Parts: sequence; structure tokens; C-alpha cells
Amino acid sequence: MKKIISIMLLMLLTVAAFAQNVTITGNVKSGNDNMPLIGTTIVEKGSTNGTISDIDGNYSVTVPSNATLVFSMVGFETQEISVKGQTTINVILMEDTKNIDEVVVIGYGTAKRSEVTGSISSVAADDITSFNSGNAMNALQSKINGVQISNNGTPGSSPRVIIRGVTTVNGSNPLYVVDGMPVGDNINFLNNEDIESMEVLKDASASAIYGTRASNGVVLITTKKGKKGQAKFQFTANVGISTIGDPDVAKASEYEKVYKTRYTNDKQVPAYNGIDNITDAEGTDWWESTVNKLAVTQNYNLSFSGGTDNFVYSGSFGYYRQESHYNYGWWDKFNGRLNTEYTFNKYVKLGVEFAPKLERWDDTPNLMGAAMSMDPTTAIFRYDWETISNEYSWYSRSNNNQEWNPVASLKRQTAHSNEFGLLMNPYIEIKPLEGLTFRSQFGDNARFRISDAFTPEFFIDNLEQATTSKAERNSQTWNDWNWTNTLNYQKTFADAHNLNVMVGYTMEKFSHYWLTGSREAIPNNNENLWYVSAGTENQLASGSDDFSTLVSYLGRLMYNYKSRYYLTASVRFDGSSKFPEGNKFATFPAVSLAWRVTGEEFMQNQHIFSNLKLRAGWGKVGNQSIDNSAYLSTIGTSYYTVNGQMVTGSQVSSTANTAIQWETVEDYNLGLDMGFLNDRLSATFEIYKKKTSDMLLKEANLLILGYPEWAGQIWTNVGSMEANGWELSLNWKDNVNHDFKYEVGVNISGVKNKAKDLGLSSPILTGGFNGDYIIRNESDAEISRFYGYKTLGLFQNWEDVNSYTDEHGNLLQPNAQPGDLIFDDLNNDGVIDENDKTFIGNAFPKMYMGINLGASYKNWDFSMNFYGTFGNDIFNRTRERYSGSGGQNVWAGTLEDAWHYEGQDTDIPRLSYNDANANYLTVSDWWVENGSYLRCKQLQIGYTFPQRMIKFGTLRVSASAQNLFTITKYSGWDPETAVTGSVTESGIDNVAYPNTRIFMFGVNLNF
Amino acid sequence: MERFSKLTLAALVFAGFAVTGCSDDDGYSAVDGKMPTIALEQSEVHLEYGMTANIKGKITDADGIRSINIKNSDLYLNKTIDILKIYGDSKTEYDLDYNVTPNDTLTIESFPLQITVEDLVGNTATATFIAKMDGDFTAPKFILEPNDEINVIMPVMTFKFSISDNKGITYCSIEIPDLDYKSEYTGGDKNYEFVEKLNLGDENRDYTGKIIAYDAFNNTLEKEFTISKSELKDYAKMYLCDVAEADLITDVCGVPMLIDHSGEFEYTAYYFNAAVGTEIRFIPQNNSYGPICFSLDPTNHELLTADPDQGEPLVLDKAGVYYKIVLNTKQGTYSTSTYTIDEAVDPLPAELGSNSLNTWWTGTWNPETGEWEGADDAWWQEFKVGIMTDNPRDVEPLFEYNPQNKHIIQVLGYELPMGKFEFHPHNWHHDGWWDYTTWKPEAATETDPEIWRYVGGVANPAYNNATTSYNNEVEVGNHAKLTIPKAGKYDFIFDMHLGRMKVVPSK
Repeated sequence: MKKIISIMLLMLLTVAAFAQNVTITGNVKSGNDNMPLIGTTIVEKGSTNGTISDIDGNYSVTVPSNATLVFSMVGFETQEISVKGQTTINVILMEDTKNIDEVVVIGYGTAKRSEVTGSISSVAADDITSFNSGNAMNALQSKINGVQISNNGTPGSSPRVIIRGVTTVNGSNPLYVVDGMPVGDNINFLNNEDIESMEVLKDASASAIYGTRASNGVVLITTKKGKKGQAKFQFTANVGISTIGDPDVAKASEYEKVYKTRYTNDKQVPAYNGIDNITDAEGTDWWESTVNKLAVTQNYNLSFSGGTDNFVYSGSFGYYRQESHYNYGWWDKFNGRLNTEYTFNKYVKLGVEFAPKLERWDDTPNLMGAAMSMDPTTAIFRYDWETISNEYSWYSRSNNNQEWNPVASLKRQTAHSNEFGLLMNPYIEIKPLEGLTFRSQFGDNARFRISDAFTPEFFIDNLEQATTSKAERNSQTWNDWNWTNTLNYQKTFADAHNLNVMVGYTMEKFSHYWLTGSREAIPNNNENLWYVSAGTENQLASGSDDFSTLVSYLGRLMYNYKSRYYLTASVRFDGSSKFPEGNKFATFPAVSLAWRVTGEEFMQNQHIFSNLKLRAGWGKVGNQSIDNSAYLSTIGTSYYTVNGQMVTGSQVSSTANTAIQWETVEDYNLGLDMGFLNDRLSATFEIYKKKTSDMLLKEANLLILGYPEWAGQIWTNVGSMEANGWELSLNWKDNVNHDFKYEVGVNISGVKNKAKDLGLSSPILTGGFNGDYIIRNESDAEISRFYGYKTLGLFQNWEDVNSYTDEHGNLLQPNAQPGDLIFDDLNNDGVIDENDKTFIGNAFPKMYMGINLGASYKNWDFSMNFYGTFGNDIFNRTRERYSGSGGQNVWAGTLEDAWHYEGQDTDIPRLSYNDANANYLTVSDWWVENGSYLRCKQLQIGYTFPQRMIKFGTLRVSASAQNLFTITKYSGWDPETAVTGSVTESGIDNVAYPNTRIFMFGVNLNF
Repeated sequence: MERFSKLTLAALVFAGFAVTGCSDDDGYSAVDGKMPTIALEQSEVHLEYGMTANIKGKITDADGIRSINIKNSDLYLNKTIDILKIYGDSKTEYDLDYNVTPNDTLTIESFPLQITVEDLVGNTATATFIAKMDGDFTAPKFILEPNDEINVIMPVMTFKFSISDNKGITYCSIEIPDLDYKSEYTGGDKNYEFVEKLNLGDENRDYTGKIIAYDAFNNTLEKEFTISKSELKDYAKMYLCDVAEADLITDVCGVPMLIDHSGEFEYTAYYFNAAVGTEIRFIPQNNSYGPICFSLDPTNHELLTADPDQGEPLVLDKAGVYYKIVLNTKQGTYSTSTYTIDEAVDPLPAELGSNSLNTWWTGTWNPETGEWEGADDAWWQEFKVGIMTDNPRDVEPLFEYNPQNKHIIQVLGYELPMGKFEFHPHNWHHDGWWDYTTWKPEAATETDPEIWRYVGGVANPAYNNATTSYNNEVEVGNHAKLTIPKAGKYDFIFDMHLGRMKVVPSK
């Protein structure tokens, strides 16, 4: 350490010895209005020495006579001026139009930010890579307004993404387009470090150019391209530790007491097996035995770029690995990318993007529920395990419930997959005339996956065994190609009329080939025999191909007059193989207008707005997320049991609707962009309305046709949904002085999703619960709402029970006892029945919020991101763990917390073996909790070493914490995980793998 | 002037009160301001425990009835009938009709129920309704009830019946005029047992008789019967009896066990003998050994006698086997043979507890998820059979194998309350599908089912037992509708090979 300090002092002395100091004074003014600029940072380049301008724009700084001064101010272009012996330097800073003239990707082209008339949000590379995740969309949480992103912590899981609410029951994920190539609805395969920018097309006026698949929005991803200049390298390494908390479940002694109390409360003799009066030490901590407290996440990347006048290149190699919190289960990926572009002459340019990848994973088991439920009085291993040769049979059967031994289940995990992929995107650009560009791009995205699984033969108990072993292999290939041809013409007429016209034609094909096979009765469980060929009985094989195609004609006109009045109009004419003759083609038009008010003459002398822009847009987009053969009746293989034997037969597997057509979403958007104080403060407010017509739904066919129920369902255009919402973004950034800069961003949005018409399928009942259902989706109402009984607390004594009658003395809950839930006779008809059910919660939040904080002080930088949802409810099924039903383990403290005396301050019903009052079998508001939360998604602190210490480049180290803390009243494990689910079945907490707290350490080296 | 103002203000305030009348905090105005009136149809009832007291009456209040409260602390009752909540508005007239059922575990002699009515402006009125528990509404009942027709072939018969009453039998008589026989009892006990030998003579004829019994409240039991002295008949039903005579009337069902009427005067019994030395008899009546009981002639064990007083039981000396016993009551002969448990077949399609019950396969194989997708996914579920009371998801408790005989499944010590209990054996099914494996009682005997027909959709292919196999021509019921005489634990023992089940109190 002393040595380092000595070297640093020596370096400083060396610098001091080379030049004499001079004091420089001067004044800084705005080039826009010639007004003094307060707060301008004036710093000696390459050092932290500097000052800021005062209220009159004056400054004074002492620097070496050969130094270079850097003048910077938010909203203005930075200037560098060499001192060269001067003692007075006056500077005029010009307004930085980079922000409004920044180029954004808009789909089949680019445009200046100022020309954008639709609702498009952009995220830069730094915002994506600063959050360590296997899927770039996770990094967008909190950073893009109106986009709801929720995920669980399973390695390799992809988030649920909802852009501006849901308008269809057929999924919510947007379309992802990488460098112009549509890649489906999952971008796990992408290396985050390869991403240059992401643009989210939120409204139809922006996304209609993607027509058929844009109803859920479009995410455009642009990968990094080479730049002319010397070869530059960047190496990043991030290593993290994921931690998971212990769920507070009962230990053995409390479990035994709860178990027995459930019987004795019902005046029954406890059917308890195992050690009586067991101590906690004699029991088993199943969580500790099954789930690891720590798991490692790693991410390494080496990238390079450079080029000459004619040739530019960019490439990378990346490796990402995420371990699960089990001894089994992980996901990793190797990514490569090489983007090259060769300019032959001023007419022709050729480029190739080449991105191979390898993803591998062991399926992460879902054993957290079992680890919590397993009877803690049971030992992990059988007492006689040493005498048993089959190691999978060494384990104990639960003493007191039907839960399978989670440690044994973990031991049997053997599902592994490898997926190879190659994304190629060659293109040619020809510019035959000034302003005219023809581009032809042929992309191919091929993936090949092999999945293997082995089920060992084992015997733990008659009810926990596999009587035969089984090996399976599943092979799948996807090959999607896309040929896009566009012709673009840009021209400015009379210095006032700016025109940008694009026409295009695309062809696409999506192919999927699969083959699967299995055999049973492998001679033994030895790992060397975990292959299908080793099986001796019940060989099964099946396989098939499926395809769909799309052909499209598209066009767009962008025009503006003197950068004040903007018009964008687009149309896409899509034809899809998924629809029958006559309905194959559909048109998706869009138009949007904008007025940049601050471009007007009358706004030039005002000092309130630095930017003011009004936008309005309308468009239609489509959805074709249905079966490839929806308009065809198909026959499939089926298996029947005849005399106890399984035989193969055929059956109608789907019924045609020859009149089916596109699902269409019509979208209106109004936006207002504002900038104040030279854009130090910026704000955007938008309101929108999306309405689906001809929504595709599976409806029941006529029973008279005699089809089985499932095959009798046909796709039909009968539904309609609507989403109405608003978004408000506020961003502030400022330099306090030359050392300290900070920024604050707040995104708030709200959306209401409503099913206008669900056709004959209404209501759609989802979320099965003890023969009932939790969620009722019905026409003309919000979707995914919980439907059940209201409760009025607990019966505290027999007087409460006996007095809870109708007006004639008939008991409303004849099986109730003190300590049971009181269900509200909502319609006062004297009977607790289906008619007393009502809506008791809403799964979709009323409001979303993202808060982004950033600051830097000298070489230190700091950032913090929060994401939260508000006004949503969660149906917390983990509350069942207070019941001990089926002998399952309970939450710690249940013995005391469950009602057991009159007047007890608790809402947990009495312990009961029979649960005659159906406390835990009834869908009621007792399960429903406020799911609002605000989570610190990331806190990061970084330090960039001064250039004098790192001569060959720059070095930054960082430490960060993800999911650091959560502010919520929700009593379940993870409110974010709990809100995932399908559009019509959201908000039910079934104990999924939670988002864990991760501590990351990173190094970023540029040279 | 100031004084005028004060007077004016005071007048206005007074006028305000005068116009609005009195009102409560909710702003309701009085119409007449009078207290509610409560006119009960009766203010006192006499009950037994377990009976319901019906409080009836008319309540009126011109101001509007807000609520009626009925309260008694001994009954743990404090019920408020909230008229506003139920009807959305008050009523000026309300027909009170409220039932109160004192728990039969209570021992208090009377329950005064205080009825309080409150109107909209806060006036209240009270009345008291007294339920006295000194009533008797339960007639004496038979413990051992003679059959309507009693067939007798011997000149001397032993006539038996027994009666009980919850509060005491004041009087009981049996009279058979043609025999010039009458017996009377006036003891007042809760139980009375009649056992008397009657000499019918050798003449074949009918004798009608009548039993009358009543208690102190004149709750009366009457029974007419006919004793038919005749030659031996070809009885439609014959039972195998393997219990003491007293146990013939303590079962819920299945004791004695009905056997097959295999020919004229010929009966065939199949019976699993669990232990060496089991004593069996054959009786055409199902509640006593007499008056006819086919058992071994004490003078010649190769032959049968019908005399219950003389005959000796047939003793089975092989355990763990099925007996086939064929008897001819006309000839008084019988034969026995045995077969093993393995030779016996039952309809169960798979082993209980095995993961062998398939759901219906359909849909499309999704290689991404590795599962069949469609309306249902294919999977094997545990095969288990139990006592089904509602639907195939509600099958509890589950039957377990008898350790000695895999054809016998049983539930031991199942706690049941007094009253009706409806069920039939059924397999559990995850999706609630019906009739994979199920037995149903013959419709005619569902209150005391004697034969359980297998009506499952899937059966052991080897099963073709003529005694119990499903026959479309035989009408079957749905649930067996058992009468549980008193709360307690009961054993359900079901021989699937024979299609016979007995439900008896646990010992």
C-alpha cells in the first residue's frame, strides 16, 4: 500500500514539475439567447481540478499553463479549449441538439428523435448492461414507462412483459426484432453486452409497420456495430452470489403439536406416526436439506470493434451462468457475435451479422413447496438404507403426510437440454441516387435442441415409487427465415419540406421439426445406461413438423415542415398461412401527427420551455397467436383403455373454422413532451386507448356434432377487450459542481384492462381451487379478478355461531364452530351459496412506478433503481400453510397464531382435521392480500480508476445488489413472482421460485 | 328587538321539533312514537331435547321495525334479525317465525328466550318465550320387532319382542284372540322384553295378534302381526348367521348375510371363514334365531333341523378359505366344499394404492413441455377406493385390504353421527370422474342393503362371479341409505368377491 501511495505522489510531483500554474478567469454564455450560464462545469482535462460558473456566468480556475479546459453543462454541447498561456477565456456554449436529434430505430429504418411522432421509448446499452441478468428485458424494469415486467428467479426463466395493458387473452409478450429479424417472444439467447440499444414501440402508430404480430407491442433490439478507428477491446466480468431466505416453517416439535391439535380439536384420536414429544433436534430441517442458501451467478464478456474507411467490424464472446439454489438445476449460455460491414464504393455496402450460441441447462426442480410441506418428524433416510442397493430407494417416506421426500426427489433429477443456435443476417445496401437506398436483408434464425431425461426405478413406499425406469430423448429444430427488401428515399425540398418514404416487401417462414422417443425398463439405474436404447419395454416414438408463413407489403411516409409539423403514415398488408382463403390478407394502417411548438417563432423568446411537442397517433395492429391449422379440421392420435390395456386409435383433435380472420387492435395515443431549464427537467405525458375487435377465442362447438368437449372447441373471432391508460415520466439531471452530478427519473403509469366481450366463453373461469375456481373473467368487466365469498372474521364463541342464522333460525353455517371463518350472506337470502360470491380482488395493478436515481462524484458513480406496482391484489395460497391439512407442515407459530380462545387477536382459523366449515376449501377474501410493493431492483456503486493509474485504457470496478429490499404489506414470499401468470389467470401465489437477492461484483476494462 | 329575535329563534326551534317529531341519530322520524307490540301465538312450549321450539307471533310498529333480538345465554343465542339489512327498509308489521333447537347435550329444564324489538326511532319492547324441556313426543319403539308374518312349522314357538321408550313404558300388551292369549305390562321401565312360549298345536292356520304400548304422554306404538302355522315353505330369502342372536339387531346392515336362492328349497352360501371353529346357522328371518333356524340335527349331523331350540350350529374347521355350502331345506340335507382365496375372484381392476388409474389420453404432444396438451394431460393417478358420499373427489375414508384376505376391503373405526348416512364404495378420481370402479346396492334394499352390485366401468377381466356380477336387468340404487342408530365408531367390511358388506359397531 505504501508503495502505491509513493508512486501516486511521485506521479503528481512529476506532473507539477512539467508546467507552471496560471489563473484563468472568464465568462460562459448560452449561444441560444446570449444569457449567462450559471453552473457550468469548468475542469482541467484528465484531472479533478476545476470549478463552476457563478450566477453571472463568471468563473476563475488555476491550472497548468499547458492544460486543456473542459466546459460542460447539461443541455449544451461540451467544449474543450487549450489554455496555451491565456489568462482570460470567454466561452459561448451551444445548445446540445443531440438529444432531440439522436437517431432512434423505428422499424424498417431509423429516424431522428425529433421526427418521432409515435410512442417510442429507448434504452441505451449502459442501462441494459448495468443490470446483470440472463434476459435483457429484466434490465428494463423501472426504466421504460408503461411496460410491466415481472419474473421469477428460476435460472433461464424469461419475464412476463406487458406493454400498455392487455388486449387479448392470447398472451401478452411483445414481438422482439433483432437487427430487423423477428425472433419470437423470448430473447434469452441474446448476450446483453451485444446490445447497442433497445426501442420499445408502445403504440400502434409506431408498431403498425409490424402489422400482424404487433398487438402486444414491439421491442426493437439493435446490436453493436463496428466503428472506424483503432481496434478497441472491452472485457467485463461480473460474479454474484444469490441468497435466499429460509421460509419460517414449523420445526418438528411444533409440527407434532399442530398435527395432534387438529385431531383433538375435532374430538378425534390423532393418527400420528413417529416419535411422540419429538424435539426439534430429533427432526429434520427439510429446507436446509433441499435448498442451498447461496448460488453463484457469473457473466464474462470480451468484445472488440474497429475498422477502416471501407470495413468496420464488431465482435464478442460471452459466457453467462446462473446456478439454482438446489444441487441440481442451472442455466448457462455461450454467445458469439461478429458484425461486419464492407463499403465497396459510394453505391454499394455489404454486411453480415453472424451470432452463434450454445445454451445448456439442467431443469431446475420445483421442490420449494415440498421442502416447506414435508413432515419434519421424518428422517431423510430410511433406518435400513445401508442394506438397500438402489441408492434412489434409501429415502424415508413421510411419517404423516403424502408429500414425497424432497431430498429423494432432488436426487432423481436428470433432465438436461442443450440448444445450439445460429442467427445470421447478411444484407446489401445500394444507393443508386442521392437519398435513395435499397436494402435487402435475408435473416435466418436456426436452433437445434436435444433434451434428455431419465426416471430411475425406485421404491420408497407403495405410494412413492417408480416401478420401472424410463429414458426419454426429445429432439427439436426450429428454422425461421426472413427476407426483407426495402426502398427508402429521403429528400429535403426548399429547406423546409423534409420527406422520408419507405416501401418494402417481406417474406417469412417459421418451421418446427420434432421427434421424441422413450423406453422403459432400463436394466439398472447406472448413469451409463441413461439412454433410450438401453430400455427394454414400452418403446414409444412420435414426431411431426409444423410450419407457418407470412408475406407482407409495407410502406411508410414521414414528412415534416421546417421541423415543426410532423406527419407519419404507414400501412402494412399482411398475408398469413394461418387463415383461410379469403381471409389470409389484412391491412394495418397507422397515422400520427406531431407539432414541435418550440420550433415556432413565437416561442423563441420564452424561457420556460426548452422543448414542447404535442403528438397524436392512431393505428391498427393484429394478432395471429393461434394454432397453425385453426382453419383445418385435424385428426390426431389418441390412446384408449380397452380391457385395462392401452391401445392406439385416432380421433378428431381439432375442428375447423373456415371463416376465421385476424384479431385486430385499434389504438389511439396522445402525447406531450416537455423540456424545461435547458432540458435539465424533462417530462412526457401520454394517454392511450387500445381496443381489440374480433378477438380470437376458443369457443365450444355445437354439442349435437358429437365431438368430445376438447376437440369440439373451435377458434372464433368473437371477443373484444379494451385497455385505457396513461403514462407520466419526469426526469431531472444536473451538475451541482464539476465533481458532483446527479439525475432522478420517475415513471408512473396506470392502465385498466377490460374484457368487453368474451363471447359464449364468458365467463372464463380459471385458477382451480378444490373443485371451485379463483378467477372469473366475464364480459364488460376487468380481467383476472378473484371471485369468492366475503368473510366477516372468525366466530369467537358459540353465541356467534348459534346466532348466525337466517330470520327463521336456520343456521347459515351449520358445521361451524368457534374459531371458524364467517362467510357473509351477501344477498341476505338466508343461505350461503354461489349467489353470495362477489369480486374480492383484482390481479392487475392500478399503477406502476419506476424510480431511477443516479449520481457521480469524482471517480465514483452510484445508481439505484426501484420498481413497484400498486393497487393489485394477490390470492395468497401460501396461507394454506396455516391449516396443516393433509398433515402438511405449517408456518412457524401456527400453534399459537391459530384461533384457540375467545377474543384472540388473529384472523387464522382454528386448527381442524376435518375443516367441516371448509375454511381452507373455500375461495374467500381471507386469502386475498394487497399485493402492492416497491422493490429496490438494484443499487450499484462503481469506481473508475483515474487515467494516470491505468495507462493503457480505463478500468471500472463495481459492486451492486439486486432485489436488495422490498417495501410491501404482502405476507407471502415474493409479490413480484406472485403476479406472474397468464392474462386470464394472474395474481395467484403458488410458491414459485422467488426473485432472490443477488450481490454482484464487476470489473470493466477497456483498452 | 333583541328580545324579539330570541323569542323568534326559540319559536323556530320549537316549531322544528314539533314538525319533525322525535327522531334517532339516523334521522328517522316517528309516526306515532309508540313502543312496538309483540303478539306471540304462544309464550310457552314443552319440548324434548333435540326438538325445535318455534317462536311465532306478529310484531307491529307504526314507526317501523328496525330489528328483533332473541336472546338466551344458556342456549348461547343472541340473534338479531336486522330488518333494515334483510329487506332494505323497515316494516310496520313482521311475522316472527324463528326456530330454536336446544342442543340434546343440555340438561337445563327450561329456557326463557327474551325477545326485544327496536323500532326506527329507538323505542323498544320485550316479550318472553319459554321453552320447557319436560315434553315427551317420542313413542315407544321396538328393539326387537316381530315380523309382520311369522312363519312357524313347529307346534310350539317362542315369541319374542322388546321395546324401549325414552321416558318409560306405562303400558304394553300383546293379544292373540284366536289363541285366547293376552299379556299386559304396566311397569314403567324404559325397556321391556317379552319372551313367551306359545302352543300353536298341529293345525296349519293363521293367528293374528296385536302389540300395543304407550308412555305417560300417550305416545303409542302399535303392531299387528300374523303367526302362520304351516308346512315348510320355499322361502324367498335365506341368511347365513355367524353371530350371537343378540348381535342380529345391533348391525347397521349386512348381518345376517343374504345367501343365494339357487333352486326350489335349495340355497347356496359362499362364505369366507376367518378362523377355525366359526359357528354358522341359516335363518329365513333376519332378526332372530327363531322361529325357524336351519342348523344341524343333534341326532344326526348329516341332516338339518328347522327347530331353533334343538339344532346345533354348523362348525367350520378350515380357516382362511372360502366355503361353499349348499342346503336343501325340504330334504334337510347339506354339503360343504371350500376354495382358496386365490381361486376366488373379485372385480377390482388394479391393486389399491397402485399408480394405475389412467386419466383419458387426448390432446397433442408438446415436445417443449414434454407433456400432452389439450383438455387433459395424460397421467397415472393413485388407484384408491373409499366411502363416497358426494362425488369421486370426496372419497373418504379409504378402504384398506383385510390383512387375511385381499378380496375383503375394510374401514375400521369410522366415526359417524346418529342419523342417516348415504354412501357407496367408489374409486377416488382426481378429476371427479364417475363409475370407474364402484358398487351400488340393489334399489330395493338400499336402507339395509344386502347385495352390492359391481357397476364399475372397468373390471378385472377374470371376474365373472354369477352371484354379484353386474346384470343390467337388476335395478340398482345409488347410495345406500343407512340409519346410524347412535353416534359412534363403525366398521365397514366389504367382501368384493361375494358382493356383501356389513356395517357394524366397532368393538
